[in-house]
Amino acid sequence: MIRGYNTREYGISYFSRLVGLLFQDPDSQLVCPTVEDEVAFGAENYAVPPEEIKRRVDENLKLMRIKRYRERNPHRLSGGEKQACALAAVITMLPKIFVLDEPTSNLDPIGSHMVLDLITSLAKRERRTLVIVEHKLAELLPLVDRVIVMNEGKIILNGTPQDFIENADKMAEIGLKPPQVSLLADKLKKYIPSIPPLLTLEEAIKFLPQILDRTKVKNSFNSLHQEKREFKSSNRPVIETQDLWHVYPGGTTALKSMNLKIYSGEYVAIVGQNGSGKTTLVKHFNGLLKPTKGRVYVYGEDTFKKRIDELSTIVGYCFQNPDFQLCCRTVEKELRFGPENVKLPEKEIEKRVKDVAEIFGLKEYFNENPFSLSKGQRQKLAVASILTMEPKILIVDEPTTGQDYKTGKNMMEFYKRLNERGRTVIIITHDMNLAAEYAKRTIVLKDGEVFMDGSTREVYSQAKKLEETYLKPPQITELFQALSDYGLPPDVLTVDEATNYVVEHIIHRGE
Amino acid sequence: MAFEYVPGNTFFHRLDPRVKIALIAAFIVMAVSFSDPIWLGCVYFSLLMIIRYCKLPWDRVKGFLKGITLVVAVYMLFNTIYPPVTLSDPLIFFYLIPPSSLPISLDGIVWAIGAVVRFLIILTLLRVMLMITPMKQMILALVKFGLPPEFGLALTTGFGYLPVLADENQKIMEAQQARGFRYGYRNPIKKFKALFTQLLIPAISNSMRRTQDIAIAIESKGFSYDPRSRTYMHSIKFQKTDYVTLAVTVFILVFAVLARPIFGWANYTFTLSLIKNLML
Ligand SMILES: Nc1ncnc2c1ncn2[C@@H]1O[C@H](COP(=O)(O)OP(=O)(O)OP(=O)(O)O)[C@@H](O)[C@H]1O
Ligand SMILES: [Mg+2]
Repeated sequence: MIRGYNTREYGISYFSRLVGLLFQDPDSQLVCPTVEDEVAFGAENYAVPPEEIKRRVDENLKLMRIKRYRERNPHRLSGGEKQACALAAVITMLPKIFVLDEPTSNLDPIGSHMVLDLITSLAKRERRTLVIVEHKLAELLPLVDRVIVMNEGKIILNGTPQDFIENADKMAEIGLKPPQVSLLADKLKKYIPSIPPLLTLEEAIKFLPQILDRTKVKNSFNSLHQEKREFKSSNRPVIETQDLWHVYPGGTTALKSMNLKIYSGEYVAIVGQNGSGKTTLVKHFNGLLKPTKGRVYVYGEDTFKKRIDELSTIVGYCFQNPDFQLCCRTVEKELRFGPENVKLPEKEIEKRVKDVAEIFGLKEYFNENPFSLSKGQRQKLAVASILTMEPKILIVDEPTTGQDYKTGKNMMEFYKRLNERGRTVIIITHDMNLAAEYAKRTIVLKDGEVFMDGSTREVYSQAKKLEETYLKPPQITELFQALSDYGLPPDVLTVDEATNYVVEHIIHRGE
Repeated sequence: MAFEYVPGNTFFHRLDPRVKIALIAAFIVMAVSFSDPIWLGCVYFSLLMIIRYCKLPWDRVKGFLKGITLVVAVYMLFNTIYPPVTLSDPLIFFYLIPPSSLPISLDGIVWAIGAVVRFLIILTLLRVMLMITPMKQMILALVKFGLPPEFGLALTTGFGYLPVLADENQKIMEAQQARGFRYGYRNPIKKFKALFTQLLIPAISNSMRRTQDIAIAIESKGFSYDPRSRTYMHSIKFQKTDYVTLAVTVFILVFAVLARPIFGWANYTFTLSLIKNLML
């Protein structure tokens, strides 16, 4: 039942006036020839007056930062821009109830913060109901009134955000990730039983000083180990770009004079705001795109002269949207596709398929059609089917979108093990927490240029500079940076590091 | 891609789509009723001037022309050998099959050049007009001319999707190549085999899935809520320049209709006699 209408008796069109739906996959819901038409489409169908539509369209395009793409076909946008466009279209309809399925999974951190903020305040102002399905709890929890947690089709929690963080450990068990400050509070409980549950960064900033021993902290070390990048001298570059430019057919310059070297055995995160050129850059590494100007060398060979399939055993690339990548009739065939193409011996193929399927938990789906799997599972399958190729360099574009925290983390752990066995791993992600925890080197792109490039610690300790490009460090890093007056180091990257640090400098009450 | 709008703000970009449709009609009538290469050449030249004036990307126009070279060549040959008009006393150079079948004559060649230019005018014209008119406006004009709005909307989304589907097939191929599958054969038979065995099925199932997605997506945005009373963000309205251009267009149209039958102009014999005079 929706607002008293039985959902069985009315068509979809009737309800969408009441309920604006945003699906998880932006590619499947962009239907008009231009961005502007796309955003206006729903409102036009419900006969909103043209002047009002124009006003809303202008406003929403600006809010979603896609105004300059008005006239472009929405499918010619970057992954995050597509999502922004789809969301703008739903907002422009201004339905009574918004139902948004992961509206920010492809957006940059500050962008998603802005978007979540915007829709919650819009819902409050216009008195609309808002239902959001999300994995980004740190941003969302402080904004909502009610949280429903589902596991295996059952509702296991239905209460306030406060209820949620009080059950932080239980939530973590089923693969959800409470905000980092809540986790910190939870871990510190062992040492300070009186610690209240923390929900927002602001609460934590207020609370933490009370338990820190100022005298102890003051003369302590001001920064964690100054890790330098280890690879420069010892290893040789496996990917090198020289003055790389890329201009798309429509005339967008996506890359400007990139000079990058990636060394054998590195674990690199490429981050940057939406449309900064991340996807475009890595597509040059396996020859999917050719430079408009400049050169790309992979293991010393110019990619310009290589076919994509010749590079495939060296560079494995997972697409941002897995649906373009799956092409076989069963999951098993999908996993075998790559190794069969490069004519590996049958025994080897079987072994690889078995190993990878095990790790990704795909065994039980072997005979299913890839497209009958959920989006998260398809994403896994897409990665898995690249891994059976055992490429020397693995590139994953947004590996954790649509994944819950636990799966995301498992995948990252898996890449880490590959990396430890000598593979070069490059990930593109908007999840700063995971990037900070795993990558040793971070490259920040902005407007098609390298904006920052250094060890992950160096990069995240410069929050001000990151902000210019719509990025921000993990919440825990932000917390420590906010309290730098107390001598806390500006470059902790994980909750564990933070806990250890605080524990060392805690006032042991009652002692 | 064939149907993509190139944003701009020139005189032609701004014209009301209904005037643009009239303009298309005028050009087509000229192309069909003229048969003289020089006259048709002038018409084609004015079309090229429009392309220049609107600053349309020349390489896209060129790429498109390149793509149809083979068709044009065959068309030319056919028209040379079998001109659909009866030639009076043709000047025959030689026979493709001696002694007397498949003649290649001056008259045939002149006619065929005209036919090819006509063909090019029509193709280039449609392409240019679509490049300077957003698909949505074009369809809005058709709706004003009486096309049912449901149908118009379906066309809009359809045209929005065509380039996307073509792109997606490309993406599927790229993804397969990224997993070691080879398409890049020089041998056309091998290439065809690769396409047939690997691309066909994923492409079909992808487009079927897409069609379903679109249907759900447009329904969830209220597509069939009430198409007849839906509003349009940008409505189309005649401006002064539109009236003037329309008048000029109608004049051209009338001229094009009358030129050949009444005045005997723009017939292929015009060029033919010029050449024959020169040769004498
Ligand atoms: N097919 C395309 N045609 C034209 N322009 C494109 C196309 N794909 C991307 N662009 C543009 O190129 C720029 C870089 O896009 P890219 O996809 O590399 O961004 P990205 O960093 O991967 O962004 P995101 O985080 O949103 O995925 C953007 O300005 C985008 O609008
Ligand atoms: Mg991208």
